Amino acid sequence: MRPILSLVPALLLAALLAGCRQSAGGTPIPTQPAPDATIEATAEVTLNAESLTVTIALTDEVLLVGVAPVTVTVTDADGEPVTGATVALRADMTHAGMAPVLASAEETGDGVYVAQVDWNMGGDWVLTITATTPDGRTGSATLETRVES
Amino acid sequence: MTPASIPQAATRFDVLRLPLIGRLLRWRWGRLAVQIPMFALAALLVYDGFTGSPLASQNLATVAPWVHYRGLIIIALFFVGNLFCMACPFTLPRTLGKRLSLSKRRFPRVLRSKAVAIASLFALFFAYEWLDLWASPALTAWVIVGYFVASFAFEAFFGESAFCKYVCPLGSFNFVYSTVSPLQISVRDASVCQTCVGKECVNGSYSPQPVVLIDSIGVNGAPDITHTHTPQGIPGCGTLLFAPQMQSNLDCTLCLDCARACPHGNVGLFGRGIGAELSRPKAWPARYDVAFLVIALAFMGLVNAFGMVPPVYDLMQRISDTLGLRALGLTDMGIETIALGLIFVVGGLIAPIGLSLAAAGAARALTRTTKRDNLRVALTTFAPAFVPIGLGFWAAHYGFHFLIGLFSIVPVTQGFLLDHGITLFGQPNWALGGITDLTVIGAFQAIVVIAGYGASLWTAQKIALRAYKRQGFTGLLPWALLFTLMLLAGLWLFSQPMEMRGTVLFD
Ligand code: SF4
Ligand code: SF4
Ligand SMILES: [Cu+2]
Repeated sequence: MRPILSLVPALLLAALLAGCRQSAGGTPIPTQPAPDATIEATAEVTLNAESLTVTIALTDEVLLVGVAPVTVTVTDADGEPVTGATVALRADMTHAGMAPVLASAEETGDGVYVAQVDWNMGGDWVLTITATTPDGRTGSATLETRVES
Repeated sequence: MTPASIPQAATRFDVLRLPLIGRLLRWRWGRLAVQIPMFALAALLVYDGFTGSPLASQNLATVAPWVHYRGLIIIALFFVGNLFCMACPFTLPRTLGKRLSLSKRRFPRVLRSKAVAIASLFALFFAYEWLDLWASPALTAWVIVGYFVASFAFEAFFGESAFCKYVCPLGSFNFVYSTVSPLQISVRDASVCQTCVGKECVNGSYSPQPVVLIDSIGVNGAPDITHTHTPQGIPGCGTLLFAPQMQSNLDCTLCLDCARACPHGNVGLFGRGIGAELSRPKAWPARYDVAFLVIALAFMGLVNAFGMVPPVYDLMQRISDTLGLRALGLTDMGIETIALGLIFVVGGLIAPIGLSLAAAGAARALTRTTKRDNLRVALTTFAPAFVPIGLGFWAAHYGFHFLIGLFSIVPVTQGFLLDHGITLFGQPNWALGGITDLTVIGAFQAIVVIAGYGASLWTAQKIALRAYKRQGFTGLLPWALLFTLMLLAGLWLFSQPMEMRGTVLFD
């Protein structure tokens, strides 16, 4: 009977060791430096007679887990750049229960706004961008994208 | 009939004898009192699922079931018991069906097996990955509606609670893992049951067809006592369990109808050691269907989590390449169906059945018990040992979503209220998530997986010593090997980063 009782801790230890080696290999969700993944978003804004349309194009095919800049361009109905707007970004994972990543974009000039978004997990994401001008016009755009871990 | 291993003294801890809560639970409408809030909640989820935000992380229909329900269920099963079935809202319209006395027939004999439950669990887990239920409030709402319809339909057609006992995947999951729960239905005094005429705990004080027949035959052939059936009485055990013989929580929905129906107040909800029944001899029927349910569910725990880590996408791509699916002109969805289906069938059905049969065969051969035990006995004896390791896998996966999204229900609820003009609870703070440190969650996952493994080995060791005596060590070996393989698979899996993709694109 004695060997059988010693089997359990021995197996446990072996498994534990194997497990540690394994998990050291694939550390969960590393903050790998993302390559120059840049999402460019062009927003055309309309209120009343003016319309704001937002189109977003992904410049890189693969977005990796980590912080990556998102560029948003806001233009009005005439295609003129809109300056001084507040641009808010919200990135939601498609899986329930994941807190969204919120960011606001800094204006870098001429209707171009850049935000640093922390893509903190691999999977499908929905990026929602809302631009608000000081005189109250708003426009928004959404973009579905994939982040690989 | 009463097992000697269960102490019969009234000194046992009995929830139903607790001052306030006991009275509440035994109260005729006690179950209804917890079902109604759950029903309202289910209705709310369906409503939000169909009308609210299509984003899963902002809709109650997806957050409540996939994040909170699944986490809370594990906690409840481990620390208390099958509380979800107790409060199950799906049985409400069903009870109506029963009260209307529409049901006469018994569930078809061929279907009276856990094979149906295995199929429905398989279907739910497959649909979850394949249709990305976790990403779709509307689809999740449809699943909830489907539960109500199915539960009602089964009750309308069949006498016993066939849906709970054979079909419901949630119930089947809860039955399996409530075998670790520290509470179990049993009787206070076995001798009372021996002289009990009505056996109301199982027959009910009304019943379309009594399970244990009690009409005694009189001198002239006419019955002395006849059981009268009216739809007004207290129903007996819907899943046909007989309180004085119960040794296991399998199939017990914790509805407490037995306690309400027993005219002798003999039924209690007694305390026991966590996982006590797993190593108790003959607590479970020696049936293949029951054994495979438990074993397959442990493997499905791995497969279900595997569907959410990057290697699954590589594997699906490789399956597609190997089978030349792209060349066949299939769509991405078509390829995913086949590739994911293969992974599920192999990992969730073929592997558990094949590997456990192999382990049982090896144990039998090594211990030279081939004459004494057939393969079925060799396998089913060890089936309970798969409960802890399986629970560990599910706790690791569901725990991940639960911990990372712990408070996400708060802003989602606030958002829902705001959408309906209720400003009382303020603006939602969307940054409210849960535990953000993934190393903490990773450590939790490793601990529960290893703890489950340890408990499985310990259980298997007790079973082996009992079944194979001095050959116990030898008989344990094949099972220990299988558990160790499962452990390694689990540790590898849960050390992978999560990557929750919806549509999969193939090269
Ligand atoms: S539990 Fe109650 S109803 Fe059931 S057999 Fe015992 S005494 Fe009778
Ligand atoms: S009636 Fe049956 S299912 Fe309900 S609590 Fe009693 S034994 Fe469990
Ligand atoms: Cu998951």
